[in-house]
Amino acid sequence: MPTIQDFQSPITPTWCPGCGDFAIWTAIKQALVQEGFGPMDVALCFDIGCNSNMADKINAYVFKGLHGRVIPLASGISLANKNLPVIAIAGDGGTFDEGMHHFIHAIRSDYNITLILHNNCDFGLTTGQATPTTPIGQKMNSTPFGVVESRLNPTQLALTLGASFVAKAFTGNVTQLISLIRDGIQHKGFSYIEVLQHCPTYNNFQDHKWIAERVYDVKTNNHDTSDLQKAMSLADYSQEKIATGILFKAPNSKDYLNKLDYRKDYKGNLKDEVKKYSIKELAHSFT
Amino acid sequence: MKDRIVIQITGAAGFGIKTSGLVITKALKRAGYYTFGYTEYPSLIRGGHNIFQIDISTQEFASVSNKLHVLLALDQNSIDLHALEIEEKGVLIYDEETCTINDQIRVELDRKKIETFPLKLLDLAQGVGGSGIMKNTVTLGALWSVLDQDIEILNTMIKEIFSHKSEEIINLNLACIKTGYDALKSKKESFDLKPSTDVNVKNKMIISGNEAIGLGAIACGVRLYSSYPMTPASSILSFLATEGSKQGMVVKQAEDEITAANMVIGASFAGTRAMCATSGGGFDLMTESLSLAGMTETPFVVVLAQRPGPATGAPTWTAQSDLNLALYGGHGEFPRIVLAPGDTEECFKMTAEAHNLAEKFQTPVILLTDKYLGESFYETDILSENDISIDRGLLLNPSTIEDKESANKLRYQINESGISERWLPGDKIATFLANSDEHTEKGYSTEDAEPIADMVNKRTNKYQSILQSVPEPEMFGDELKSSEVLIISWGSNKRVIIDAQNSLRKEGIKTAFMHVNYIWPLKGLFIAKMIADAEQVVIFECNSTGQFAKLLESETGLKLENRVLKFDGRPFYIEEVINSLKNYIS
Repeated sequence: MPTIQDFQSPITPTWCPGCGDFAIWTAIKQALVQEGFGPMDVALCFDIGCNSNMADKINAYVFKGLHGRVIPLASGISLANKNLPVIAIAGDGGTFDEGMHHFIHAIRSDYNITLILHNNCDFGLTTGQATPTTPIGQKMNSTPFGVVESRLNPTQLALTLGASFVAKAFTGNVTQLISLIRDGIQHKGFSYIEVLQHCPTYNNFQDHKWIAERVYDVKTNNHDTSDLQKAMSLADYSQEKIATGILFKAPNSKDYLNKLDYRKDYKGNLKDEVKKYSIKELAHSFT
Repeated sequence: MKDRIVIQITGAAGFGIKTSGLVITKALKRAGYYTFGYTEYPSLIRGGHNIFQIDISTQEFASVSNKLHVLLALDQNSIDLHALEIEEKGVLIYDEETCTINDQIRVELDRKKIETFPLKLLDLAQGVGGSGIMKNTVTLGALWSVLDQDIEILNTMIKEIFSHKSEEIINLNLACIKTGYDALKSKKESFDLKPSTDVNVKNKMIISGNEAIGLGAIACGVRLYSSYPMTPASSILSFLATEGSKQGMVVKQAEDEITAANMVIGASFAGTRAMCATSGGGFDLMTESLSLAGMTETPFVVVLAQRPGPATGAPTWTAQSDLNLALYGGHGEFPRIVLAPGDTEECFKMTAEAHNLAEKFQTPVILLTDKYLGESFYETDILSENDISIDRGLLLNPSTIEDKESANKLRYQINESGISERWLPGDKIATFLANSDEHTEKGYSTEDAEPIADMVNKRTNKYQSILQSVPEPEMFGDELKSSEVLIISWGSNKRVIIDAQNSLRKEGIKTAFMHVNYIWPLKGLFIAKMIADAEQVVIFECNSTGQFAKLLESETGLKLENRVLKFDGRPFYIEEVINSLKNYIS
C-alpha cells in the first residue's frame, strides 16, 4: 500500500507561513494515499502561481504548464489515458482571468479531470494584485483606489454551465477537503473543487478567521446534491454563511469520452492505439 | 493541339461550384487526363464570386495557368468578370435564362472567334422532370459534351455520388446530364483533346493537400486531433471529424488555438500521437504553448496553413509569408523542426514524418503549408500506409525494464545528443516533472547558473542530432553544371517550377531546381555548395520580403539577390514562372 512518505519530495515548500497551500498540499497527498494510488499511478498538472509552486514539492508524475492553461493540458492527458487519475491544480487568478474560457468549455465538455482551485482572492506570486474573485472596493497593489469590477462567483458560474460536480472546501478543514478530493477523483467527469484559503501576505480582508467563522458543511443540513436551484442559492455571495461540501452532483452525467458514440467499441486508451492504420478503402474513395 | 486546356466554372457562392468542379475533375481523370483543380473564393458563405479552375493536360503536371479556354458561367457576374479573359477560339457556356451578353462583350467575343453556347438551364432541367437545383447537373452534361467526352464516365460518377439516394433521384440526375449533353452535341467544334496513354492515370486519386494530411494523420496513428476552425486549415478538421472518427480517432473542436495546442501537448505527454492545425493568427496564439513543448521536450505536431496577413489579411487566399513565424515564433530558445511539403504526396508522407521527428527528437514540429497546397486538387498516385513508417524514438516499454534500473532513470538526463529516454505517466518506471520552469534532469525547478546553462545546452544539442537525420534538399530538372540557372524554392512552389522547367526544356533551356522541404534545421553546407556551383541562382517565394532567401543568406553567408516574389494572394501561375526565368537567361 502506498504511504504519504511515497509522495515526499526532497524540495522544501516556499509558501509564506500561514499560507493555505500547506493544507491543500497535505490533503492532495492524503487523498491519493487513501484512494490507494502511489506516485506513479497519477498525473498531477499545475498552473503557474503560488499554488503551483507545489509542483516539485510532491513526488508523482507531474506536468507544470503555462499560466492559465492547466485545464486543456490536463484534459489532453486524461483523453489519452482515461485510467490515469488526472488532477489539475490552479489558482483564482490564472483560471478566472487568463484561462477563463478553458474553465467554461471544460465544464461543457466534461473531461474526466479534477480541478482543485485555490481561491485566495488575489494574485500572490506577482505580489498582490486583484483577481476576478477580489471583492468590489478592495484596495490591491494594482487597484490603489479599490476594485471597481463586479465580483465573479465561480461556483455559481460552474453551476450555470452545467457542471457535473461542484464542491467547495476550506483549508481550515483538511479532513473534509481530503474527502472532497477523493469524491472528485471518483466522479467520472469534470470535478470542480473550490478551496477557500487565506493569503497571509496579501489578503487581510478575508483571512483564515473570517472564513472559519462563516463556513459550514452542507451535509449537516441534509443537502440534496441533485438540487441545482438549491446549490445556486447556497453559493450566492448574499448568504451570511458559506456552504462547503458537495453542492451539486449531476445524477446521470457522462464524461467526454463516454459521450462519443464513435468510441463505444474502443475499450482501451488512446496512448495504446498508436500504430499504423489502413487507409486503403479511404484512399480508394478519392479515385 | 494545346499542351493544356483550362476550364473555369464560375458563379455565386452557394451554387455548388466546388462540387461541380470536383465531379468534372475526377471524371476527366477517369477519362485518362492529367488534371489540376484550383479554387478561388471569398470569405463569404453565399453570394460572393467563386471559381473552380480545372487545368487539363495529356502530360503529367500540377500547376495553374492564367489562360482560360472554356468558361462555364453560372451567373451574370461570371460573364462580366471573365468572358473577356477567354482565349481566342475558346468557349463560353452560359445560362441564357439568367444572363445576358452586352454588346461590348459580344463584339470582343466575335473578334476572338469565341463560340458561345447559351442554354436554358431551368427549361432543360424541368423538361426531363428535374427541379431548379438540378440546373448544375445539366451544366455538367453540357460541359462534358463540349469537351467531347464519353457520357458513360460522367454517368458512373453521378451514380457514385448519389449512391445513397433513391433510384428516382439518380435517374433524374442522369436525365439532366443527358439533356445538357445532347443540347450541345450537334453544335460544338471538337477540342482535339487526346487522353494520356498512361493507363495509371485512371487509378490516381484526386486529393487536396489538407485531405492528404488527414490521410497521413490517420495512417501514422494520430489518435487525438484538436483544433479550432481557421481557413485554410479547417478542412483538415472536418475531414478528420468524418473519416478519422471512423477509425476511433478522437476529434475535438477546441474553444481556441491555445486549448488545441495544450490539449495536444497533454495527450502527447501521456503517450498518444496528437496533432492540431491552424493558420497564422491561430499560430500566433499557440506560440507560448510551442515554447512549452520545447521546454518540456514533449513531442508536438502542428500544421501552419498559411494565408496572406497581417491580421485577418486575405483569409481565403494563399501566401508563404509565415515562414519567419514558424522559424521564430515562441519565446526563449528551443529546437524546432519546420517541414514544408511541396505537393499532396509530400503532405501525406511528411505528416507521418512530422510525428516520427517529434517523437525522436522530443520537440515541436511545424508542418508549413498554405491555402494553395491545402485546398487545390492534385492528381496523385494512390497513397498507402505502406509508404510510411512509425518511429517512436526513445519511448521506453515499461514491461522490459528492470525495477532496479528504472528507479534511477532521469527523464531529462543530459547527454551529447540532447535526447533522453522518454516514458509516460502511469508507467512503473520513475516519477518525473515535465516542467515549464527551467529544471534539473529529474525535472525539479532550478534557478542556479550551472544547471540552467547545462539544460539549455542539452536542448540546443538536439539541432545537430536533427540535422544529421534529415535528408538533403531534392534536386529536379537538369544537371546543375549544364544548367543556366539554379532555381531554389520551398513548399508549394515545387510543382509549378517543375512544370516550368519541363516547358523551358522544350525550348532548349536547361535549369536545375532545388526544392527545400526540410526547412529547419537547414542543410546549409549542401545548399552553399550548390549555390557556389551554380551559374546563377533565382529564388521563388510567395511573400514580399524574401523570408527564405534571407534565411539562406544567413545560413550560407552568400548573397542571393535574384528573387521572384509574389504576394497578391495568388499562387505562381506557370506562365509567370517561365517568363521570370527567361529574364535570367541569356
